[in-house]
Amino acid sequence: VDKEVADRSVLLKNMLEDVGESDKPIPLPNVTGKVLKKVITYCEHHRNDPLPQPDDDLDDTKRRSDDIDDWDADFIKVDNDQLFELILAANYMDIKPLLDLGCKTVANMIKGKTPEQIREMFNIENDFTPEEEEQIRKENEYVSLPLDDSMMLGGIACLLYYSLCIANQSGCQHYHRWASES
Amino acid sequence: MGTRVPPEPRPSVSDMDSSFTVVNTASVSTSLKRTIWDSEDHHADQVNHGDHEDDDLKLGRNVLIEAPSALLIGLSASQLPPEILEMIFHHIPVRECYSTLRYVCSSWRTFVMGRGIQSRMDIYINDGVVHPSRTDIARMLALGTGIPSIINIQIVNGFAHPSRTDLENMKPGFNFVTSQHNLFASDGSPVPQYIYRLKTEPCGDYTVYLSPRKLDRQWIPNDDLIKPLYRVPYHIIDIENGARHGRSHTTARGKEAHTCCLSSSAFLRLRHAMMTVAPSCARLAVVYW
Repeated sequence: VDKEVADRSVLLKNMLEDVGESDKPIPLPNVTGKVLKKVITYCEHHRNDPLPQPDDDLDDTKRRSDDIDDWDADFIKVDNDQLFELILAANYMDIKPLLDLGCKTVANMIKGKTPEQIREMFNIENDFTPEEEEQIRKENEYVSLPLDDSMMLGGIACLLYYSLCIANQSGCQHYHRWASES
Repeated sequence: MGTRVPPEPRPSVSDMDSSFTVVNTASVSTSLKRTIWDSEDHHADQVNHGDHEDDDLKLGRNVLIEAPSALLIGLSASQLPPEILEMIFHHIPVRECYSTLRYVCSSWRTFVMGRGIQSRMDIYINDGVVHPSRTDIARMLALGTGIPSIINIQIVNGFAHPSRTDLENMKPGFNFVTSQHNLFASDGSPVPQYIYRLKTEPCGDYTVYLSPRKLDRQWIPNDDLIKPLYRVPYHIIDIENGARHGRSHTTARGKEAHTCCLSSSAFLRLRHAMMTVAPSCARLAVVYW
């Protein structure tokens, strides 16, 4: 691995500065070989990119998650386990662009999904305590239907009510007619 | 006869706990070290004997020693460390965090709810009667998203429903500000009224005016009055209802009447619109004239 590729990782860069070039191994106890190779592939592709600046975090435009380029999007198409391993490795090795890429990918996967879909997608257990379940139930009591939906439901309820009234009324008339005839 | 060794004091429960912890820690760290040493030896052997050179990740003369896969516990999204969760949730609208993510699992819920107050709404009432009711405001606070909010209500030369007493009783969560004629920013300075007449569609019948403070305009890279950017850390939204802008109707007696109250449904829609266009804003102000 070239040094300029390794320098994409702040951790490696600092360690190399401390250790210098020697036969001494650099341990990465939190990164598996498979993930490390993937990380190196990423760093090699982005070796000429400008290094992220600390102030980048303050930029509110970084909230967007749809600005992933094609190569990165293809690179990050891995299974969920490997995706989280990549995120953890990027966090441990301090490779901010890769960490951002992983987090944006997870965010994109989450967006627009229901809690059940998210649980299923990431194999997350529903581990709410009974107290939390109760709290959630109370919170949902406050949630009102959107105006249009409630109006629509109200309209349907009114229609049903009038239908029942008419049916009842006509039923009564039939009954009275039948009763008087008989 | 040798000297008698005094018996060791009987270990207390806390001693037993601590010794247990120490033993456990030692055994874990020993096994961990052994695993890493084994790994290092394995790599050292590989380097020395030249076996599997292609598998070695060399960095100059240094060799990168990766972790054996056995050291990594099976990962789950619910076990991600908070700093990574924060980075992921940073890319998700606040509204969605509160409406969806906090219902996924206990740790996510704790994390989302622990992020603190996300929005603030200041309501200024000038010379008028205002509805919503206490219930409306409570519903507005909990509206769908349940985003923790602070609502500041300031009444200038007017009266309101709920009453001042009601408002004060609603604490905490409401901050009742009494003031005479000026609108004050959170730092106490008077807010200059730069009203750029901008209409926002989701608010339906009500015209919404955005009036960013002069200082905040530096945060707007494209300060276009026609199509503004809403990424303003601090902005004010003025709501001007029909009473002032000709949205009036003629009563049965032929007199012109104005509707001076904002209905709760309009409030809900307004709140929704606010959280949509400005999820990250630090402060929102609604002005009734």
